[in-house]
Amino acid sequence: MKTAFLLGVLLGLAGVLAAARYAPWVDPARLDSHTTVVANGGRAETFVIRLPADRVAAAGGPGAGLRAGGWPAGAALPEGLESADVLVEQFKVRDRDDRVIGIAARHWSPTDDGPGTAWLLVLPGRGAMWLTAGGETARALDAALSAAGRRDGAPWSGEIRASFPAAVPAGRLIGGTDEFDGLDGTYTETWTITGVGESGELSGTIELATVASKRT
Amino acid sequence: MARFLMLLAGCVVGAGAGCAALYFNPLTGPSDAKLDDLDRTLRYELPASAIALTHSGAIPLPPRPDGIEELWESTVRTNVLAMLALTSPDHEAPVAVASRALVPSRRTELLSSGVLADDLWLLTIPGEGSMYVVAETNFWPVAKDTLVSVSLLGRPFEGPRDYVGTAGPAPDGRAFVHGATGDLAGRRGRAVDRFRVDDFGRDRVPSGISGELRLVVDGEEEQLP
Repeated sequence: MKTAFLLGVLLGLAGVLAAARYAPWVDPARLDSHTTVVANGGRAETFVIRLPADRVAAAGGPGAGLRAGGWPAGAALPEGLESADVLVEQFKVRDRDDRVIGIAARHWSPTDDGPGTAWLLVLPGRGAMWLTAGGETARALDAALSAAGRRDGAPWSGEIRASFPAAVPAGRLIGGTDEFDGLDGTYTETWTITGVGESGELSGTIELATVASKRT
Repeated sequence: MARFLMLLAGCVVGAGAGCAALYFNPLTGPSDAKLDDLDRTLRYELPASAIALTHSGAIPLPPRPDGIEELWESTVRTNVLAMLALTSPDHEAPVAVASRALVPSRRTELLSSGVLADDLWLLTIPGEGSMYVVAETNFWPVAKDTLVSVSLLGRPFEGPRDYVGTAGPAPDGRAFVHGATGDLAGRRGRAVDRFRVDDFGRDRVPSGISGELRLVVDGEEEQLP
């Protein structure tokens, strides 16, 4: 009887410690990735953001234009930053099959070297990647919409496409974690805007087309 | 039958001993990451510093502001995404804005690591540039003192308590800093996030959470993990 009890103690203890060590406590849902091989041995993948559905939050200073209007209502840069030249946008991210696969943040701010953009893409189950580029000029999208006939403060429908950065070189993939660890490469960011609502809400898509290869 | 019942009783006792061992396990305890060479400090309070905060119940703080899109899809349901305004010790007004994403880490295990999350920051200091902070945060010490001790075992919270959340992924137990744009482009560094919890009630709502991100950015080129 004593032996059975001691055996039970050992089994119970070993079971709990083994579960603590080996049980899959975190097993993120992961969808198949859609990558294609490109000619130089790299791999290409495009991520899509649908506006306004995938827009989670946005806040920026007045210099950032239409996109700086706080989203949702109540989100705004606090006192002390409200006039800062910065635009922070947060999104959900989809694959080319339109499935939500992650979250992303885009920060734009001018510096002495010119405007800069940085993206943080987080794809649970795969890792995160960091994309940076020389940013667009302040209110670049506003200017494109004006050129397409939109009047300030008024709703608009049509279609415009704007790519950032506009000029070569393309943006850079500068690093990442897990699946994206050890990669570098390039990306382009294309905004296709099909409408502006009465409150300034954008409709359309953002496409991030990345090409990555193993860092040598 | 009697032997079987003794075996079962032994299993229960053994399992209890195992749980106690995990509760007091020093291997999953707070980090002792070095702080003295981290010469820059950015501070935040939760929820006051959150311009936006969204999740689907992953943390005991309500999403804000009202109407924010929640992270409900299966692939992002356990994640947290926040937009924070950060102050410095020298300025009362915020000096930086950050996007912070928390994703439960597959490296979570309760014997030698803890309850880990990939803690990813994109931080912008207007006029200076942007940088990434890549951290792995161990939430087990704070979960032990709050969810286990208070909610499960009914003990009062012995606070305020300070925690060093960062547990890697750098070999010295600190986070990596990777400069992105402006004056920070191409630069590398280290960071540690530590926070204080003033109180935690049985309603599972923490109060008085304040944190500080301490970092150093230098000009050395360094390979990322």
